Amino acid sequence: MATKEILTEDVINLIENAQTFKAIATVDEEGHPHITQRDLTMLDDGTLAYGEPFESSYLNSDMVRSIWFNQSISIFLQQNNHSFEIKGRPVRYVIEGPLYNKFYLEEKEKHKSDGDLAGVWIIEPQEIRNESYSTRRKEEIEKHPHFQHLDRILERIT
Amino acid sequence: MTNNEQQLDREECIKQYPDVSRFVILKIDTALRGIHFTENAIERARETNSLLKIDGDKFKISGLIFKDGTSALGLEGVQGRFPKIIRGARGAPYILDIIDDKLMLLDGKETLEECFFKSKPEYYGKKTSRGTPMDEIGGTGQVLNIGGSFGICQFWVEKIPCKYCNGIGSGLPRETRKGGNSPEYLQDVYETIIEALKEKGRWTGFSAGGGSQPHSDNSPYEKEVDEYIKSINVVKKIFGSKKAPIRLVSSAFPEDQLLRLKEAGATAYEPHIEVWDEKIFKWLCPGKAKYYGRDYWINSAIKAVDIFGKGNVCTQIVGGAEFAGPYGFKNIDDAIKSNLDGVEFYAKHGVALTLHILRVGQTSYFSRIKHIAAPLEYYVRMSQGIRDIRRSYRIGSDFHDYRRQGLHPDLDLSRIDYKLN
Repeated sequence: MATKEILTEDVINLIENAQTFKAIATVDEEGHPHITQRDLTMLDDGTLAYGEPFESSYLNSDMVRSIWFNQSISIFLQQNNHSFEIKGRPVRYVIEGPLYNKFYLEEKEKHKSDGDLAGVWIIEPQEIRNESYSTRRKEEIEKHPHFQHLDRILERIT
Repeated sequence: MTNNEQQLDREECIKQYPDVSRFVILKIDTALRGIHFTENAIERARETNSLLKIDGDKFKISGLIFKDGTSALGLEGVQGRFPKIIRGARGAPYILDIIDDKLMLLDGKETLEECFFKSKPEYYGKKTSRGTPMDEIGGTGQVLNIGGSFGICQFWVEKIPCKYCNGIGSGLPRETRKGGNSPEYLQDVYETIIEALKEKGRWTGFSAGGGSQPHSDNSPYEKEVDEYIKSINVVKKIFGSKKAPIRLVSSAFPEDQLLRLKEAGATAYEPHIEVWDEKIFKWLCPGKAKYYGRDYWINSAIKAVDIFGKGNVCTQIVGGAEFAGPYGFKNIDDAIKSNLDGVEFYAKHGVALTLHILRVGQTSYFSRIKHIAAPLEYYVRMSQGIRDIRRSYRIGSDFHDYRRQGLHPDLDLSRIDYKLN
């Protein structure tokens, strides 16, 4: 499926909303998980991008390993009652050029003299899961009716 | 050494060493086999403002990177710094071409990786107030050159150069080859730095290096240090009391000279041992052996850790050189063991060691004896071994890593270890 088709309108809206909480989950070479908040944007071709401020972060190390060994990472988006998980894979680390410069200037604008940038990671989304509570609850009732408690069923009947 | 039939090719190395990034293995192989540019690739460099110069049928580009940020090598011909490299029969050069509108690296007809040109610095094409082209001074990556010591190596003058060396000064501005940094040249450096720094987000440090000058009235290599201090003072004129990273790729200096450099503002120091084995060192580097021996060169790096700090002192070996000559290793297992003994020794003393892939140029002694670089697998094993030892001792070498220099495959592998240091 083309990258642009994977991201639904709901997901795109969340990504473009500055109030959305965004985080990236990765795994290091020892199998330990790491989760880090980063601001992501969508590029014209439907890939996702974020500016990595720290060359020495655990996240950056994991992203390098992921692109080296074709491993997936996970992005979590949350805003009010809407949340999504996007499984993706890093496809490029940009360390100079026009895209890098754009993100670099944005970091400088945000953090002033503290602002700096290691690089820009570009992620190709592969799969989306809607993790919004109401969506997941509905799914679980439909697919796994035996998981719910009887008092809940009673509450719904009355 | 193993013959050609026993040598693993790129894909075999990737399979055999699954813990080593395929980008780094490809990088090493581009160094060994070289890259040929098609006309379409050259045109793409022009379109993306990455073409530095065209001179007849010769052209120059800043550099080439893979999608993970690793630098491709094997570009000597198009970076104009070194004489023709002799590669031996190890496979045709890789090809850089345009496929489906993307800049792609190919092996024969097989499409391998998408590549990206490094951009031309914005100061390129400008001249200093006395008409010196700034691109003859500054550099094209993320580190600015601030001049060499003398631009001529005394070892070459005395006809005792390191045997792999293609000739110091071949890539340095003509001015420095007259011997020392003249006030006019230093003014050129000053103006070039001022202009280059207008490009925000590109430059992360300064570098000086080039040629050994052991003869001095007082302390060994004092005159060489005098020249480096002149270069450092140019940076100080701009940065004042703010500490800018300044790396020296230089001779081995005694403690008093190291202290002078530290006081002047140098932040990282690299005296290259080139080979660990004692007998081979004397044969390979007769100039270093004469001025003032292997122990002197080793001890200088060790002492420098007290002065510049762990992570700021590095040495290097020229991988592949240790197979040459009357004492050369006959197989890669013995060579790797010897070199890694050296890596471990240095690491115990807080000194990093990096791997340089041997490049045999037409002007070097090695070309006369027809000695070429080692097999791909040797460099893969060396890169992994060196990186693993540095990791275990928590020693970094950030100042010339994958993006600040991009020559050392072991430092490419160390990218995932920054978090530990």
